[in-house]
Amino acid sequence: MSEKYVKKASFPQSIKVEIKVIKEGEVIESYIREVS
Amino acid sequence: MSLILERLVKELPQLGDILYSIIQRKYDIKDSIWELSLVVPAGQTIYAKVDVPKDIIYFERGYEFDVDKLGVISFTHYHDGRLIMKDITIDDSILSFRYSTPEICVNYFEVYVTNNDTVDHTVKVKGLYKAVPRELYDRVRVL
Repeated sequence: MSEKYVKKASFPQSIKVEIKVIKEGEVIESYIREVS
Repeated sequence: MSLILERLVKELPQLGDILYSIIQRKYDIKDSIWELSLVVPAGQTIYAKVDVPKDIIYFERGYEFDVDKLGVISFTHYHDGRLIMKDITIDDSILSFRYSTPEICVNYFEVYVTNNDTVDHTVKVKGLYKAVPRELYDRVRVL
């Protein structure tokens, strides 16, 4: 799972975050992680 | 009932403030902040979908942005699939943004951060909100 796009994700409660990287309208990378 | 209340609050904004302060005190509703710091490659978009915790809902009050270059990053934002901001270019005027009335977010929100420059940039987004117990929201919603 790539973390290179998210330097920091901070939420008061544990939460699910879905990340997608889009280039020229196409999703080139995606992942989901739990953060808190 | 909620429509009547909504109309009253619209016509008497101070009534809304009074009602809100009563609810805030009774349910111990505090200001909260979420933060996402993203590295957005040149010419690309980072999409983030964030699920709201099951026991609360968000009343979004505004945003704060921090970018390493102004005028090259655009921001689009949705609450529960509802468009809130579309292709706002982050410049001086938007670095600290507040809604005139809070924007409700019940299940999830989405952000699209697009880098229109030819080099990578780091973008920090802070969401300012009040977390309201979902049980309270559900009770008021059916009035």
